[in-house]
Amino acid sequence: MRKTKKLVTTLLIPSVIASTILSGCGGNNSQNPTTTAPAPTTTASGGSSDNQTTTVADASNAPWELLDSLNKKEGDALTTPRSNYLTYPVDSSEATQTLRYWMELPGNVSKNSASCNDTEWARLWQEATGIKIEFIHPTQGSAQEEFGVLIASGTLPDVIEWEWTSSYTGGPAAAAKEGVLTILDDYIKPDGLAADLWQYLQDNPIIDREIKNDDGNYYCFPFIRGDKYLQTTSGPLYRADILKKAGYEGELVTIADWTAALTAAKEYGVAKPLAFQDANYLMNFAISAYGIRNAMYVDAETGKVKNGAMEEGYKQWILQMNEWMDAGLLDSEVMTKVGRSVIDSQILTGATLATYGAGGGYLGTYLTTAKADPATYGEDFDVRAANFPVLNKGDVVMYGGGSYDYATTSKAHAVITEDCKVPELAVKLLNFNYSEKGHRLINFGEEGKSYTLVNGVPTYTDEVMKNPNGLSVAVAMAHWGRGNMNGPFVQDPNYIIQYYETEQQKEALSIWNDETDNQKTCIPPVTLTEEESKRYTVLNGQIDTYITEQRTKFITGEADVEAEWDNYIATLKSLGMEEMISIQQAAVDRYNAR
Amino acid sequence: MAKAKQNSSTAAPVMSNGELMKRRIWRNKELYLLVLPVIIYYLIFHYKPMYGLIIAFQDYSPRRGISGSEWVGFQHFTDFFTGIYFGRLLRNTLEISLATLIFGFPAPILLALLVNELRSKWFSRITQTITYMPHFVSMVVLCAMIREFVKEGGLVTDILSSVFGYDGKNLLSRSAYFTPIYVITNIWQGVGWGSIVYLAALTGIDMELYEAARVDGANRWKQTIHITIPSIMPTIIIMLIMRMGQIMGIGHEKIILLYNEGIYERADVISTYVYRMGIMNRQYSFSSAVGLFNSVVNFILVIGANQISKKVSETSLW
Repeated sequence: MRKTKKLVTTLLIPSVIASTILSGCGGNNSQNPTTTAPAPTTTASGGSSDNQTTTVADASNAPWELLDSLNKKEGDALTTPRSNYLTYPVDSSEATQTLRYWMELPGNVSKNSASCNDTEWARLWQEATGIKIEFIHPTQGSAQEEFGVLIASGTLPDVIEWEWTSSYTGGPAAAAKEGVLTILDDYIKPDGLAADLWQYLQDNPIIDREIKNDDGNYYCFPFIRGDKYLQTTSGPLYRADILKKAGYEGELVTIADWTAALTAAKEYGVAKPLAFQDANYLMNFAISAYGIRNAMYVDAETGKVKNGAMEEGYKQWILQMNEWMDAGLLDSEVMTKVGRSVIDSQILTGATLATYGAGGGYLGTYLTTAKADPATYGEDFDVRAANFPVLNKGDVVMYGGGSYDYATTSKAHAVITEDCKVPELAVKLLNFNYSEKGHRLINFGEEGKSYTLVNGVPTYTDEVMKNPNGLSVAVAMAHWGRGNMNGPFVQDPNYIIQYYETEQQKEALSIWNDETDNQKTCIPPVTLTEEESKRYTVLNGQIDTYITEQRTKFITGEADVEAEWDNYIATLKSLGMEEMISIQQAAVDRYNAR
Repeated sequence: MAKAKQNSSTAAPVMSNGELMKRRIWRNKELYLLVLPVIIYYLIFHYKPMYGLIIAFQDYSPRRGISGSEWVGFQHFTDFFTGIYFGRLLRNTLEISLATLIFGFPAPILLALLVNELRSKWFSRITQTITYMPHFVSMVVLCAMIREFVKEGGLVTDILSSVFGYDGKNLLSRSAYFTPIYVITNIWQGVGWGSIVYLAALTGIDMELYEAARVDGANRWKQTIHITIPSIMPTIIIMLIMRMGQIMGIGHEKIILLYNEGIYERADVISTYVYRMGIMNRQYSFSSAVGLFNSVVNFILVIGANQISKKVSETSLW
């Protein structure tokens, strides 16, 4: 009896808070015609199935009681899904078909299961929604090719997870026209079958704008990086213990700091102080200091689209890399696809001071590997993250990592194809992930098994963190939930805070995300028209080859950047770089006008 | 059997050509049945796909398919010929290919002749086994080994530095060295395997020829020049004609595994370009057009080589 009471109070607390916030915001809702309903009672986020029967005096005629929109503004933290409008599991008379579901097999799943069909989260998802799914995966590493074949083949599966703005020729517009995806406007609305997603988008209008196409239509169930800590998870990493032994005590903020630190390490005996697995990692490491990004970006001051390879800063960056390479600070092999395993071993053995990598797979792996074998790697082994370098102390990092909330680089946005005979069923399946219950399930798995609620925060159990079958944390997480992967759901920041077990990793998240303003300079989730998209692909084919080729020659010193710069810019222009930029600019303008 | 023969010979005068054909097929039905799977194989896997070449003249969209895609004629060909990479791709393709032909083609012949001269059975077997071995190593592994050898501080790089005073940089970061690396490793990879066909041809030479030559006082060298080489000449020519057909068709796998952006200048060939444009960039129509161009040139080369060989040596494929 006492236990029940406690449970009731824990359940009530968040709803009370929620309703306080709601009434606080009540006045700002004039933009939102659907939230004219009377202020909700405290059952707002608690009783889900009951909502179905409640009649609401509301213009929207929704069969459920709508929550007031939180209507988060730009700069506010994103919220997590909190509604439970639809009833799950669906009636068995509805779930007549097994949905064929095409998605890439995530690496962390493949380490334990041959298919998502064998994971716990897939079982839980099907049980909770009452909808049966059969997963179809392309061969790992050839998803791009197999996607092409899939699209060309006769009958499409019911649901496809893919990236639609740049990895489908012609973009979402062409995909809709060619019958690959259906427009979801009939479902994502207050009384629609994807009302829970609709509610999440009402709460976070920033995301609502990102996931639509230029005509204002919804076309996918998006993958949302639901928190700023999920947006920059890679950055510069360095061996703090070696740097200390080398006698460097300054900070690592500016390019000049790095030069000093790398020189100290070189003098201390580190063979290749700065090394990267390939050229893109090299770029990501320091190009931000020169106020540019790799490829297209939005200039922070003017708001105009630019391409990093055309800018004066690019030349400055190359000159700096030349300087580092000549001084023996930068690995001279960097342009010949060194590969990850080489870099991993160089960091672990101390042959390299610094590199660029992710907080999980790189930093986490280094720390756990070294901790497991202190005799080999040293008791004081320590790798830490540094912020993306800047030129002058005091500059804010604007061009480091970063991504949009609607993660357009992930092949993880689910669409319902035109060949799907039961679109309502597919919508219900996917909408579940954006409901409060579904959000927990798809991120963390089963309460009591893979996670428990500690002060309202889903906390992984030992089943995940110290898996009895010896699975690594990442693999166990991926077995129980999709929290550490991507897919059609809102990624929960609580996963990464627990996944990044060590103090160094938590510090990395804060360094890369707290003091930076990176998202502003990323290209927003624009959609090109079919014509634009085709033209862009054609131009990019030649330009991309030229840029990467010249970049390599400049960095290795095979070509002299100072002498050839004008010629280089002229060639880029003759290849149509300006047309590419103007296509992208038009798309960004349309986006801003949404 | 005899009866059938009689039948056909008596009926022949009154039969039309078509009927005669039918008769013949029916009589040899077992043979035709035997060849049928091969014909079907070629129809399905080599002739039917040719239909897909249409996409080279279209603005192909996978979803709309061949019938629904827009027709653009020679647009993609024009784009390729006028693009900035056409000259370079053609030059590199020919350069790497001809170098492979000139240096790579004689290598297995030489090896076969040498092995043939070995008198110790044991030693010749060992030699053969060792030279075959690289052929059985996966291309990916092999290229990883090559990259390891020529990187900064790698085995080959170190030898070059100490013997010729080379400055020690990764050999694959200098475009000028790409063709030599490609050709030499190709020989290493294929010389043993390639020599098998010549060794087989060598065993077919009548030993009496050698005995007669020895009686006439011909030494080993003379025997090789006047007996061995002329005897395996038809094999060499057939191999050469077949090799000609691959001039434009150097495989992309090895180059992709070895090259990097910095040496595209000398390493990027038509097939790697098709791969990057078609698979990586999804310009299916454009890369089909480039691929078709490549095949047409190949076709012309084989026909040409065959004609020349017919005139010069009376040996030809057809």
